[in-house]
Formats: sequence, structure tokens, C-alpha cells
Amino acid sequence: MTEQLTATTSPGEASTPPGAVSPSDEELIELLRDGSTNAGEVLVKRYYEPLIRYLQRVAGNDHLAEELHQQTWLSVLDHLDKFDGTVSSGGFKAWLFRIATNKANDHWRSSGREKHAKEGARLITEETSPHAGHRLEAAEQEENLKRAIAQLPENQRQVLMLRYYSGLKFVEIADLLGCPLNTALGRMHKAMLKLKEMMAT
Amino acid sequence: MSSLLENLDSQARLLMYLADELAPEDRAQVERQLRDDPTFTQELEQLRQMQDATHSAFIAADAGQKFPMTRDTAVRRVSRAMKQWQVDRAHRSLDNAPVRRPFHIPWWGYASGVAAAIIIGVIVWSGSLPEAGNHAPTAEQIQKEHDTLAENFGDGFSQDVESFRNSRRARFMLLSRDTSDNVMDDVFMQVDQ
Repeated sequence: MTEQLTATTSPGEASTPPGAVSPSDEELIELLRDGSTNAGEVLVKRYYEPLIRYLQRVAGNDHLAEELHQQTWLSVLDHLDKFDGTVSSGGFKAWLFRIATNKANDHWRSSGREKHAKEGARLITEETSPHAGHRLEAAEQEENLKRAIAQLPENQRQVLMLRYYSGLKFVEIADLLGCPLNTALGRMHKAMLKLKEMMAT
Repeated sequence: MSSLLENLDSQARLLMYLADELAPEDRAQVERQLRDDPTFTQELEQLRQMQDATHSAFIAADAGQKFPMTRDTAVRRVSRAMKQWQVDRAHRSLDNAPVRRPFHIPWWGYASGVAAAIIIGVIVWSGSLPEAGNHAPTAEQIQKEHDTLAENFGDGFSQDVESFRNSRRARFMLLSRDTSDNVMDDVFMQVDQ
């Protein structure tokens, strides 16, 4: 069965061949528990883009995002036996993003938020854009967004990133962050308002 | 009004409505409110624009930002970690496996073994004991043998037998500690007869 495993791809990537049945996350988890590394690789491929984008935005720099990506999957492996897809709200995806969020939070806690906020801001202002020509506008947009995101309070940034990159429902995000639904929605609303203001200036 | 809507403020309700994450009855409730309240409708429109702008900003930003590593690199790295994890887990399961205790003999096993050994010993010992009836020649056998020898060796045989008998008696009495002359007399009496 593992040879037939296929990754559910993100938009723009090669799609699953017609007729091939893509196993669910929970099925892949079971296979991974039984020793199939191939099943694990399918999961990593499946969530590579949303997870790494989420970590890029939350962490603020690529090196840290890369490190957090690795740490997240290692943590997934360490706690794999505890995962119960039938109990966990939002299934494996919510669990994966919860771990990623915790890893990012651990990092901020251990290294000091202010220091990193300053460092992130410095990186954003000092980084020279590698993009040119037709991609200049996109690069500017990216820089603007990065700057705006860096200025958001952490709790608002997390809700916004989780919503956009994980595609989880608000109820699942609230559950993941351990806050009431109304609070999560309030943070989302404030984050969007601030982003709009900052992107406009 | 459902308990979910009761716990949400107007912005939160509209966000849930836009995200299409309301139950049908809650959705109908919000739509009634939108029909009745123009301000609420205006809020919804602002929220929708804000959401679209954020979405567009993310799309543009993602298009302008490279991934920190390729997907294959990420998979390769995690795959290595997974293989190591599988090995570690196998080792852990071996370490945690219940220790196989050596074959346990219950207390009554020892007693039974000793009893069986005694019984077997007694049987073997008793089986090795000579049975008197089986080994001692009968008087008829002795007489028959005597007659055969007398025929073969002639008159001198009786004297030889007598001297042999005497020497045998002396030797037997010497070897035997508790055998009295009476016992041997009985034996020779049977021979003489």
C-alpha cells in the first residue's frame, strides 16, 4: 500500500494521478506508526507548503522557519503514539499546526521576544530584495506584508497565519490556541484591520 | 438565537458568516439581521473587503518569497529523522519488553522430584538384588551334575568332590560372617541326598 501513497498537493503543484486514492492523514499516521517511512514522507510533502509558509511568516526569517519545520516534525514523531485523530479537533492538520505554533512560541520564549522583534525588524529593513523586473511588485508586497506582520501582536499574528495557511476553521483555531471562539475571531478582526492600515501607508 | 451566536459579538458573527462556518439556523439568523440592519450590512461589506485585501496581500507576498528549502530537501531531512526514530523506537520497545524469566518450578515440583527420585532409586536397587530362589541350584540339579561328573571322571571323582567340599566349606565359612555351620550343613545335606 505504501508504494501507492500519494501526496495531496497544494495548488499549482502536480496533482494526484486520476484514479489514485489519496490516503487520509489518519491512515498515513497508522502506516507511519507501523514503520512505514514512506507514509511519513507523504505527510511531509502534503503539508510542506502551508507549514513552511506559516513558519516563515510567524518566525520572520527563513533559517528559523527551516529549523522550526524540522523541530515540528521531530515533535510529531515523538508524540505520534499519543495522537488520536478521533479525539483531536481538526484532525492531524490541527495537531501539526498546534505543534508548529508551540515550537515557535518556545523559541520566542527561550530567546526573548523583544530581541527577536527588533532583530526581525532589522532584517526586514536591511534585507535587499533578490527579485527584479516583473517580480518587483510582488517583492514589494512581500516586504510590506512582512513589515506589517512583524508589527502585529503575536496572538493576532498567530490567528491570522493559522487561518490563512492552515485553512483550519475558526473553532479549530480557537481550540488549538486554547482561547474562546469570540477571542480568536476578535484577534482575527483586529489583525486584518491593522494589516489593512499598515499596507495602505 | 443559538448559544454560539449569543457568545459572539457582531464582528465575530460576520467573520463566521463570511467563513461559512455557521450552522444553518445561525446563518439564517445572521441573514435576517443583515436584511433588517443596514449598518450590519455595511460592516459585512467592509469586512469582506478587508478579508479580500489580506488574501491578495498574502498571495502577492507568497509569490515574491522563496521557500527556505525545496520540498525534496525538507522531505529528505525529515525522512532521515524518521528512519532514526524508527530505529530508536525499535530499541526502546526491546528495552521495555518484559524480561523473560527463566523456567519457574513451583515449590511442589521440588518435593515431587525428590519423591520420584527416591521411588526410582528404590525400584532400581530392589531390582538389582539377587533372588535366592533364582540363583541357588536345586538339589536335583546338583545331584545331576554330580552324577555326570562321576561318570566322566570315574571313582576318584567322589574323593575329589569330598576334598573340594571341605575346602569350599572352609572358604565359605571364612567369607561368611553370620552363616553358621548349620546353614552349610543343610546345603551339603541336600547335595548328599
